[in-house]
Amino acid sequence: MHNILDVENLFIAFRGLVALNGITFSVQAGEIFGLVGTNGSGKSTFFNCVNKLYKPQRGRIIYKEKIDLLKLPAHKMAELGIARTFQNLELFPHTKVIENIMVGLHPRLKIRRFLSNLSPKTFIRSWNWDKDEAFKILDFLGISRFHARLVAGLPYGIQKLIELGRALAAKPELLLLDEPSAGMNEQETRELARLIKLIREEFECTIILVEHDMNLVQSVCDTLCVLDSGNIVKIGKPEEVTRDPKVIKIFLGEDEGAQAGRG
Amino acid sequence: MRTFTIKLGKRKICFSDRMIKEEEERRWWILPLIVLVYLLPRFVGDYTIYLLSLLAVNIIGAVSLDILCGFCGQLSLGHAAFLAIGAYTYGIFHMTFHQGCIISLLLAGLSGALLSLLIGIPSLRLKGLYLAIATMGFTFIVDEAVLFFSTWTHGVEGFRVSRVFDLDFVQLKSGTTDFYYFIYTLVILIVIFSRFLLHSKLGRAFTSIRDSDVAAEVSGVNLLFYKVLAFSISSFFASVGGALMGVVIGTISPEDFDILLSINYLVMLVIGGMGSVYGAVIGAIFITFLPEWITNLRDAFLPSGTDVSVLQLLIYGLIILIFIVFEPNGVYGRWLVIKAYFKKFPFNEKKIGRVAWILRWR
Amino acid sequence: MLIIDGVINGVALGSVYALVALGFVLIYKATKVINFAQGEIMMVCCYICYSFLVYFHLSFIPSFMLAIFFGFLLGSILERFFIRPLIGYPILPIVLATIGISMVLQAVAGLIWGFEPQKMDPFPATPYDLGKIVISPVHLWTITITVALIILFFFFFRYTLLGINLRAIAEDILGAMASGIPVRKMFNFTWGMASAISAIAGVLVAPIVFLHPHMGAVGLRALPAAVLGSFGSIPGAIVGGLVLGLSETLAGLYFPKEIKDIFPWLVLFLVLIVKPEGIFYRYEQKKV
Repeated sequence: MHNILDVENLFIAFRGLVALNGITFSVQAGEIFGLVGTNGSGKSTFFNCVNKLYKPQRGRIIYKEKIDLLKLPAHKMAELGIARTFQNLELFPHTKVIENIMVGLHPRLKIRRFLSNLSPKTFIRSWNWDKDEAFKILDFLGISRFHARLVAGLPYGIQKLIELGRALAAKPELLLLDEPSAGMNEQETRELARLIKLIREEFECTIILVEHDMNLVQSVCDTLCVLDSGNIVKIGKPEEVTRDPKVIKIFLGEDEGAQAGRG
Repeated sequence: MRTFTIKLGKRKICFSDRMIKEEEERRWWILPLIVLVYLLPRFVGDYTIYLLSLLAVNIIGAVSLDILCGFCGQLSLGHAAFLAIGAYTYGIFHMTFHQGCIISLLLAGLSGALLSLLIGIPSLRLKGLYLAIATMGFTFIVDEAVLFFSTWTHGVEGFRVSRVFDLDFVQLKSGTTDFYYFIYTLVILIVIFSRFLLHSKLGRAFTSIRDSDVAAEVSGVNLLFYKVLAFSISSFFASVGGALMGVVIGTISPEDFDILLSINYLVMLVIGGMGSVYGAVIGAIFITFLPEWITNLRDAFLPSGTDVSVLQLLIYGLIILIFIVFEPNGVYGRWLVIKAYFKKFPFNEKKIGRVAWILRWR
Repeated sequence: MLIIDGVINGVALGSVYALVALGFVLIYKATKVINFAQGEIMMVCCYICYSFLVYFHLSFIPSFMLAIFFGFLLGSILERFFIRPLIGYPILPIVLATIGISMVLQAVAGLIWGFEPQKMDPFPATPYDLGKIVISPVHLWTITITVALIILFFFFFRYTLLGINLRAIAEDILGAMASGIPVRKMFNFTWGMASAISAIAGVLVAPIVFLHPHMGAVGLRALPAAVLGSFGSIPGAIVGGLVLGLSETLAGLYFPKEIKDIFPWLVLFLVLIVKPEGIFYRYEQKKV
C-alpha cells in the first residue's frame, strides 16, 4: 500500500463561496505532508471534509486505496485510524486532563476486548487499562504531572498538547494536525517539530499538517502542498516549493516576490 | 511554586504549594451513609417512612434524568411521560393481568425504554433542542392517551394499584419498614450503577457529547447511538421509578403525571447540580420536602385561601431562575468549590470578577 | 358548508400559530434560544389588555395598543434581567431559565387575576355575510391583522436599517459586532418585538380559548409550526403556522376530540420522522 490518502477532484462551496476547487493530490504512507496557504485558502476546510464535518459537493477521498471516506459517517473515522486536532482546541474544559485523553481511547475500547478479559485477574487489570493507556500518552508528551488538573486552568501550550494526546490515544494511522504551532514562540515551535518527527517514528503513522509557520513546515515535512483560494499552486519537496516564484508571490506579494525570485 | 510565609515569633516558616498532595478521591463516607439509611426507620414515625419512600422514588427519577441531562447534556421535558408509562404498565400487568410484581416492574422499565427509542431516534438525529420539544409533546400525548384508553387505565377516576409488593417469599407493604429497605436497596443499587456508568467508557462518551460533540464525533463516538442509549437507560429507570410510585402511593391518575412533574425533576437537578448523581440525590431530598415547607410558609404568612399549588409554581420558577443565575452548578457544585478552596488554602487564587462569573457554568 | 367554515377557522387559528411561531423564530434566530415563556408572555399581555378594558374602562383599540406596548416592554425587561446575565452559557441552562420565567409568570398572573377563565371578546358577535361565505369577525380580523403584519415585516426586514441589522446578527454575530452593530441592544429589541407579536396573537386568540393563566399552553402548540418551518426561517414560521392551524381544524372535523387536542404534537412527530429539518431547510455548516 503506497498511498494512504488519495484526494480526487474535491470540490466544496459554501453558498457561492468556493472553498476547494476540485483539488487532487495523494499522500504517501509514513510521510509528513504539509498543507500551507494563506487564510481562506481551504486548508482547514479540507480537514473538515476528511472528518465528514463538512460535506463536499463533488469529489472523492480514498483512504488506504480502498475506502471511500465520503460514504462513511463522521464517527467512523476514528475507528479507521484517522485522528485530528483542532485549531481552536475542542477540549472538555471542566474535566480532568486524563479524562480528556481517555475519550480518545473510545474506538479502541471494544466490547469484544472487554469480554475476552473474563478471567478475574485480567478483568481487574483491564479495569485500569484505559487509565494506563492514557498515562502512556501523557508520559510520552511529558505532561503527566497535570493528569488530575482540570483543563480550564492550564496554559495554552499545555492544552495544545492535551488535544494532541487525545488524538494520539486512538493510535491513529493518519494524524491530521490543524495549525499545531498557533500561539507558540520559536523555541516551542522547535520542540513541536521534534515532537512531530518523534510521533511519526513511535506511532508509525502518516501526518498531515495544516500550517502557517514556514520554518516549522520546512524543517519537518517531506512533501509540501500550497493552496490558494481552493486551488493547488504547487506540490513537491519543501525546498523546491518554497523557491517557486508563484508560491513566493502568494505569501509575500508581487514586488517582493519578484525581488526574492531574483535574489 | 508559590510560597506562603508565617512568622512565629522570630522564626519564619515557609509553606509551598508543592506540599499540597494530590489526593485520590476518598470515599470513606459511603459506607456510613448506607448504614444510616438502613438505620433511619427505627427513629422515625410511620408518616416519615412514607415520605422517605416517596423520596426514594424521587431519587430514582432524578438520577435517571441526570443520566440524560447531566451526563449527556440533552434536555428532556418528558420525564413525567415515562413515569406515567411505567406506572400504568405496572398497574395493568400486575392488577389487570395478575402478573408477578418483579415481572411487572421489569416490563414497566422495558416499555419505557422501548418508547424512548420511538421518540428518541427521530428527535436526536438533529442537534439542538428538538428532544426538549419532542418530549414535551410526548408528555401531552401520553396524558391524552391515558384518558383515551380509560377502559384500561381507569382515566381520571384513578387506577388503584396494590400497595403490596409481592416477592414470593415476603410481602412488602408500602409504608412499612420492610418496603423501605427494599426500595432503598434499589435506590442504592441504581446510584452505584450510575456512578460506575459515569466513569466508564459509556459515561465518558456521554459527557464528551455534552461538552463538545465535535470532539466526541471525531474521537469516534456515534452521536445518535449514544444519545439514544442515554435516553433509553434514563427512560428505563424512570419507568421503574414510576411503577414504584404507583406502589408507594396506591392510586395513579393522569393529573399526577403532567408536565409540571417533568419540571419538578429538572428543578431537582438544577438545585442539586447536574452530572454528578450526588447532585440529583440532594435535589430530590430538597424537592420532596419542599411542599411541606411551602404549606408551612403559606400558613404563617399568607391568607389561608391562597392555593398552595400557585405558590409552588411561583417558588419553583424562582428557584430555577435564582439557581441558574447564581449557582448554576447546584449545591453539589458549590460543595466541590468549597472543598477545593480548603484543599488549596491558603494558596487560593483571587479570581477576577467577570472571569469567575463566566467560568461558573460547568 | 362545513369545510369552508373549517378552512376559515383553520386559517384564523393558523394565523395565531403563525404569529406565535414567528416570535419563537425571531428569538431563536437572533439568540439561539428557544423561549419557552413565549406563551406566558402572550397570556400576561392579554390580561393587561383585559385589565385596561375592564378596570380602566378604555375602549378596545387603546387597550390593545397598550397591551402591545406592554408586551414589548416585558420582553425587553425579561431579556435584560434574566437572559443577558446568561450570555455565554450553553443552551440548556438558558432554556431552563425561560421555563422558570414561564412558571413565575403563570403564578403571578394567577395570583393577580385568579384562575377563573375570563371572557374577552371585543369583536362583534354577528357574523359578516359575504354572499356565499359567512365569516365571524374574530376570524376576519385575525386573518387581516396577520396579513398586515406579514407585509409590515417583509418591508421591515428588507428595507429598514433595524431589520437589516437584525438579519445580520442572525447570520453572524461576530461580523455584526465588527460592523458596529450594537448586538446587545439588538437582542433586547428582538425579545421586545417577539413579545409584542405574542401580545397581538394573544388578544386575537383569547375570544376562542378564553383568558386564563394556563393559556400559555396554546403558545406552546405553535412550536411544531416553527419546527415545520425549519425554525430558522421567518416565512417558514408563517407557512408552518398556517399549515398547522388548517390541518388541526380540519382534523377536528373528522377525528375524535382527543386527536384534535394533541394534533400539533402528532404533526411534530410526523415532521421529525419524515423531514426533521423542516420544509424550509437551508444547509448550514458549523464553522469549526
